[in-house]
Amino acid sequence: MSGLNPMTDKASVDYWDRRRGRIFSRKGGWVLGQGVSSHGYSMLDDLVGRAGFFQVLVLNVTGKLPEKQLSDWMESAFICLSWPDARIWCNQIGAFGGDARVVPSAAICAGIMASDSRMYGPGTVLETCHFIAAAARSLQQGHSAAEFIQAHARNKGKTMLPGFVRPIVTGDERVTAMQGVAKNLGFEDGPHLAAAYQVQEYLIENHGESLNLAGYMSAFLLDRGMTPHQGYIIFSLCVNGGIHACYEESCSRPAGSFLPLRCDDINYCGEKERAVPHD
Amino acid sequence: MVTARGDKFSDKVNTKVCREIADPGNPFVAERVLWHGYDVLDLMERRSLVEVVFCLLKGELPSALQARQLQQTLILLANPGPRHAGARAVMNASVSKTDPLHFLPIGLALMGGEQLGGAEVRDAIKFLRRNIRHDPCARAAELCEAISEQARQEGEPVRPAPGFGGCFAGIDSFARTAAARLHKSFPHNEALAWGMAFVSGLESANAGWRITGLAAAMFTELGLPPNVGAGLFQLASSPGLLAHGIELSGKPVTDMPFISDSRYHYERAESDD
Repeated sequence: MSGLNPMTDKASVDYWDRRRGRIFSRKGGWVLGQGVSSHGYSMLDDLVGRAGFFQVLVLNVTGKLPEKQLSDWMESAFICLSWPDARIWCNQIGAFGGDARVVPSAAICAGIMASDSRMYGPGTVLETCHFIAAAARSLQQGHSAAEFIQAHARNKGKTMLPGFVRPIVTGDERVTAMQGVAKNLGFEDGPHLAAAYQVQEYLIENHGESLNLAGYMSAFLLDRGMTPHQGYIIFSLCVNGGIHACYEESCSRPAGSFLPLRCDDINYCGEKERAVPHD
Repeated sequence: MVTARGDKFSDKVNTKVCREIADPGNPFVAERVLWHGYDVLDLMERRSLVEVVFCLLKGELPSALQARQLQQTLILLANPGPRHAGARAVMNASVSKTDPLHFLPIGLALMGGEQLGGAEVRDAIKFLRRNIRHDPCARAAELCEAISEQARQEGEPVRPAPGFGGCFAGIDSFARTAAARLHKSFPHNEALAWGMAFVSGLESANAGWRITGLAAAMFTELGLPPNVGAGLFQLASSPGLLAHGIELSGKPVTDMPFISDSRYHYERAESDD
């Protein structure tokens, strides 16, 4: 291991020693009595009252302060992902939290963690971004949408279409709403959205499936130069509004009254009763 | 256009784990509770917690040997220690006056990661399951060979497989000793024996057991699937997380370090210019 740089070589104890009791930040931070900064901007002088919440969120994650239009677009996307319906899985967890009278932060964090799902919510963003980025590359290389799907979307005999399938229903009215928002804000479609629409065209015809909101959002963010991981981080809390709503409602009703179950509402299908053997 | 898929959802929750027999006077109240067919009150009187945990996860009570292996593993994992991110999170929460009811959810969330957490245990179980029929020494040689020259040049930690690798700038001595002790106690544990042979081939790469790999070997031998092992690893850490949190509960915020400005280094990124 000799000959390596002790400043960067993690195989050297020196590397770890240099970090003991110190924080290295590329973000900025708080200088006591002087101010707080994010990526070179003074939070209180440059951002508070001048930039929107989502502009600062994007700045904090990516290091770049986006134009206000992107912040407005994101705010609309969060609204699209936050429906106050306690049948939606993460929202129902928030409602159970209220029903069990846990504090809001616990219930809402539990719902947020549940939305890190492979089926819906922000948990799909990373995979969807990679899928759409791969589609864009494939189409640019001259392959058809059908060829791309044949080559990339098969997993254990199933067709995997991240960004193009939605639970409960086919179609996604939120995409139409967000397309309108983007148009009003002056955004133009980039190569990733173009690729997503090409894939959608094939899927509507052959599978009856279309672009879902995660697919639309992912393509949109890739077109704005965001990485999949940055998109995943920024949208990690996107379902919170619906969870807040369902938590508040169940909190305001009698404890234990949200979807109560009788013992026989559970279908036991396991072992018959048996005696516990002695050691 | 939005169209309902018309999926057929189950009318009821189905479970093989728990049967609650209703009180004749109130269908919402259980009179008796059975887990995998066993009366819970009988389990309470006749079996250990470890045996019941095994039964809940596997559906059957463990053999005496399985119970001993699980018992020792869970003790080994009962406290990740105050340098683990999970415990540090709990201690931070505690000293900053977070409600102690949040200690475990906070700590357990951070016990789920790919770095010494549940995700690493999950991946290590998958690795062991895929490789246990292969020659461990040959596999170790292949994996060490595969560590890229670039990674070596950049001094990246050696991680030939999930659950196995370097620890800071060396080998985790505690995990190595614990593995040796468990191997001595359970010489017929096939997954552990495979791991012992595997790490013997990693030493030249300054790699060895990680505590996650050791947990994975024990869970593999007990037939616990990857996701069950990951969750059990998190669960096992609970007593230590709680203990470290409670220890600081009510203490002044000054009882933990707060990094001074002089030790907080802003590394201006290129994108800031």
